Amino acid sequence: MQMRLAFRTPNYWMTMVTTVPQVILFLSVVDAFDRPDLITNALMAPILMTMWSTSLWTGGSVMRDDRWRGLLEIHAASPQPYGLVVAARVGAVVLLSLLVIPITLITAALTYGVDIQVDHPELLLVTMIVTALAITGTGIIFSSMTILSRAANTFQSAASYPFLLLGGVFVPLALLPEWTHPLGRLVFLSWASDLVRDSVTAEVVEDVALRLGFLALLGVIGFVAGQWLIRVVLAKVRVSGEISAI
Amino acid sequence: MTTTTFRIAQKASRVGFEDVKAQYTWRSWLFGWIVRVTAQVLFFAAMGLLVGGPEFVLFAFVGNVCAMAALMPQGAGPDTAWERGLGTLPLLLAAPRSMLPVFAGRSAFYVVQGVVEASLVFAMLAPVVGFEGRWQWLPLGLLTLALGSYGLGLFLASVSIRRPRIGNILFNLVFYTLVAIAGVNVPTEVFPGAVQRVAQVLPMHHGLLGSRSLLADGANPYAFRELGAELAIGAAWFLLAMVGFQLFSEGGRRDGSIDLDE
Repeated sequence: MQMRLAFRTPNYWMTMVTTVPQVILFLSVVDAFDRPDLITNALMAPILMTMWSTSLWTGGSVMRDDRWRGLLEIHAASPQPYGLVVAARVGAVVLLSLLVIPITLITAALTYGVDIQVDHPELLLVTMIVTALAITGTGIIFSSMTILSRAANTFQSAASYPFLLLGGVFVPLALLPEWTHPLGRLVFLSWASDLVRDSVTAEVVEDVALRLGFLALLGVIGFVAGQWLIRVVLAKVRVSGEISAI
Repeated sequence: MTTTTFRIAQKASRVGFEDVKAQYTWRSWLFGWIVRVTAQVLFFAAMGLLVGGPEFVLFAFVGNVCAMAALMPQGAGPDTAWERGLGTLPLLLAAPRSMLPVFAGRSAFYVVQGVVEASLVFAMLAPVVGFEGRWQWLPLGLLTLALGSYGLGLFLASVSIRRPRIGNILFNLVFYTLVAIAGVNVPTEVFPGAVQRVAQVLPMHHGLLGSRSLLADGANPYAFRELGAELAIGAAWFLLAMVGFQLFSEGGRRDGSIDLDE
């Protein structure tokens, strides 16, 4: 159901369509400085940017949409935990966001003739799956925030570039100033982007289990925090009588 | 007639200002939106840490600060399209005047917002990235870029008002296409001739050239020529917006397609 809804959501198509100029932007930088070794960065950046944005904008709207449709009362009365329903729906949106991968590869091939070879395809596949799960877990937090604050749109927007910068989706975290590293390591995207880069280009990828573990752990923390926030939000709007926006 | 048009635009701009005020508290503006635009500029400027070195950091920094001045005015489209859902269109159609001054005034505050926000981001980050140019010329460049983009923003508004659901899609597609090809991160010359010709008839390209020249050398004829070209392009898109709104309202009156809903 959520997949059908997302396909009809302008925000979903907004993030997908924006991928095309973003691919051109990053490839133009790499091409202008004649750095073919950075093509992986140029392709990974728009992919992770779009997956994260889709989770924020389409997945992040799940609870708000339910409230506007008057469905939040029904979910609140249901014996099933609403948090799991939201998680499944945000997950469905993130799954749909994987459409960005063919969009990116086709754009890169048609504009700059890019044909990429992957050194460790199994690791890339596992990393993308764990990343999608981590994006889902963290995206739930923003879904609950849309009920808590009228400025939720602004905070959804604020979560985009700071996360992408600290997540090292184009420039690895290691190249940013030293003081940003501890902060960046708390952003799951930094583990994801390093692993994706290494799985494509590195001859030997070190500490795979540890790095995948950190990526998964941060996703789980996001998921648990999101579930807790949803319970808090539902309890709050039940008491305050703001459960319905109609 | 000119006085009435101006008065309509003035009142509409007041509505637009109140609208923006309602969207933000000072906390959500500062810790939400300003954090986002600052991070956006840093994200692209940081590309120089990986490729191109300090010179590229500064090039991308100036380019992205300028893009932030254009961002809000180009966003006039989605906001205008939402008016359709609010049910104001039938009333505007029934009114004897064109709807352009209403919508032009309604989003005029975005020009101010774009210039103020881009200036603020510049002031915060210029010491961080080691900018040493003639910063005092920046507001003129930013204002020109914002005005040039406002014309395009209104044109996008005149298109997306027909299909409000495409408002955000169209705006994001156009804005990021301009960020890619207008000379924000790399000079437009790196693209094929056809792409360069497209960039030259859209806002931002000439405004960026003029602004970069002002920041590097201060007042000079080349910079003013480029800024003049940016304003002329903005005015051309404004005229196209006028035609777009006219066709939309004539069509709506004729076939009764404009309702309270989209």
